[in-house]
Amino acid sequence: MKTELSLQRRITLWSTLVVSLIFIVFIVLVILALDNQLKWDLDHRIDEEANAVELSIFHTDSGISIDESIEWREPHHQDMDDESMVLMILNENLHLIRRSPNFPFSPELIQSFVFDPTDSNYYTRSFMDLEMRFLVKPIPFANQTLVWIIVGKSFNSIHQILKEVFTIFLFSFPVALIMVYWGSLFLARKSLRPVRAISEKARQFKSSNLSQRLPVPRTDDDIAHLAITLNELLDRLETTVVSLRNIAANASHEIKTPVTILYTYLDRWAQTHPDMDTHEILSFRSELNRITKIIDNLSQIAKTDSGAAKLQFDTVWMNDLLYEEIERFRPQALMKDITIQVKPLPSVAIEGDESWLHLALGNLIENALKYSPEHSSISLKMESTDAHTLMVTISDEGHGVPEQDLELLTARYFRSKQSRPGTGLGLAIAHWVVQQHHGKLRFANNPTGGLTVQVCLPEQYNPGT
Amino acid sequence: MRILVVEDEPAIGSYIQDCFVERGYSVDWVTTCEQALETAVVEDYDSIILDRRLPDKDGLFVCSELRSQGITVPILVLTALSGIDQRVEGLNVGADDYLLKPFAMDELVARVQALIRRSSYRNQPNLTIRNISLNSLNRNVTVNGEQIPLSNREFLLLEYLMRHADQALTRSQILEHVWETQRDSDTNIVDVYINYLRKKIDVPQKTSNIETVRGFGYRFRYED
Repeated sequence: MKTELSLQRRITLWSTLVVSLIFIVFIVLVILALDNQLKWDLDHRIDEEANAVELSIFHTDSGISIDESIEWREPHHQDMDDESMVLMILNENLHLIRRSPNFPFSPELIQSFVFDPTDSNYYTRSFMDLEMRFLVKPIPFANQTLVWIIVGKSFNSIHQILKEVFTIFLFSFPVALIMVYWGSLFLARKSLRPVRAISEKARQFKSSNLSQRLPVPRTDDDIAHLAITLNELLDRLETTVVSLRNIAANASHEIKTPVTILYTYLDRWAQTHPDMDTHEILSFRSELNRITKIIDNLSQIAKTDSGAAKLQFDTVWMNDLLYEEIERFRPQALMKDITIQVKPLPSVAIEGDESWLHLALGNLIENALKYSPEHSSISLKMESTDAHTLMVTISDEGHGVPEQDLELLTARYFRSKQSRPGTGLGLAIAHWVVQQHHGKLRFANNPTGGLTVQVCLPEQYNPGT
Repeated sequence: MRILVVEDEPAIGSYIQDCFVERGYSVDWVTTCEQALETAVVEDYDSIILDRRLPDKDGLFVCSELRSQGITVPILVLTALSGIDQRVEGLNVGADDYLLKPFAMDELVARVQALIRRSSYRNQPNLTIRNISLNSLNRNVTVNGEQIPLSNREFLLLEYLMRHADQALTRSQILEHVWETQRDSDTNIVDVYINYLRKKIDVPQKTSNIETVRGFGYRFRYED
């Protein structure tokens, strides 16, 4: 499935995810290490306590005596809280000699210890509903007598610290997460900004302004490299397009000169052979005209594509223009016995480029002629609509165009299936010209058969003002 | 009538020469810009037919050079370059008309004749008949002092009618002079344009300057 997320968002999410995973692992490690350290501290404190208690035990001839003056009076031996320590001294028969008030004697607890006369041992036991750590330490005296010191302390203080640390982490995690998200969003945006600039620029590119280049970021990174590579590609493209453009312009001239020569030979020949069928001479001429027309169309479309075409807006009398085009095609219409019915045109001027409008409307009339059957008629009218728009309508009695093809008519090189040979460029050029005048070109099939072309041109559109 | 043909393609050049000689013109034919300038400055031609792509320079160079020397001979530019842009370019350097290659010889002849005829109007650009004034240079037409916007063909038609006032002109004469075509097709374009002119000039003033000569053509009324 194609992901809908932008690169920037994906980078942000990935880096947030990775950073939060690292954060979690870090927290776990910190807590484990802290736990370990605190437990070690606890053992150390119990041991120190045991050493302190050891100093209060004296072996006299009458037996063991305990100095209770200092150590045993300390408050943390009196009652039970997180910081309290329990103390107990047993004789070698494990009978109680002395215990702190907060350490109730429990035979089960005593029995759960292993009394090793050679070494001190630590035990973790549950006692009085508390998780506690005990140290059992043997104290040997001179005459083989032995007492045992038992010191205990609950884990509660450790748990308390760990809980606090964990709480701090728990609250700082979402804050850190948000900061990481915005931070990486910022970084992603910053590092992708040149990419965005490149794509914005590239979007403005047309074959008409190939001289433009992509912005190259000042950093010497992958994006700069990409921009440089694309610019090199554009250099090569520009060279190719420019040379193609020149070829199109030259070809137009190179071909028209021999066509003109053919024309003059034809004229001469017709003069010296007055018995010759004029119909054949006319067809000969119209074929030569068609060659010229195709060449013209090709070079014009090359111009529109390359942006070399510049429209010169001026006053254009549309009645002059249409009648000139009609007269131009009249011989061609006569050959197929097609009547061009013109509803009297109003004498109207618009703002436009006369040459290009000639080309566009000529192409439309020619197209109507091309698809008209013999002995049919083409009707042409022009009217001003109230919205300051001039509408030219040309309709023929041909086969029309399949509905699904209507929209394709203005596409480059498109030719309907029943079409006769042509370049498929005429309507594309007409469409381009009408667009340049901010007009509309519409095609529709007549209910009685045939195609109707409607050209709407604004009367006052002038890009120069 | 003397014309100068500047064309480097022998087949086209010789044919243009032949056609105009047949019609009683005297024709000089040169093949380069340099020769064209040399002859055009010295000789007094009625018109020049100028090809654009010449071996030494763009034909338009001849055009701008002659105009800068104050020579006003009407110039028709022949071009194989497609029409768009060329027209503006040509007219900007002082050409009077242009014709695209390939062309029909009849059309070239008609255009040159129209150019020569119209250039004679330059000596007397202003013409006033009754309430209608016409200026052939800036193409202004006023009726009772009020300017009337006319299209190019409308102006040429009115000019032709007024310059030949009181003459009955046939439709084919009008077609030949205003549309520069000798085509004898069954077009009603003359009637359509007469109609335009009447709507713009006669109908608002309730006058009848343009008369129909039944079964013949049209006439611009000269006397009241």
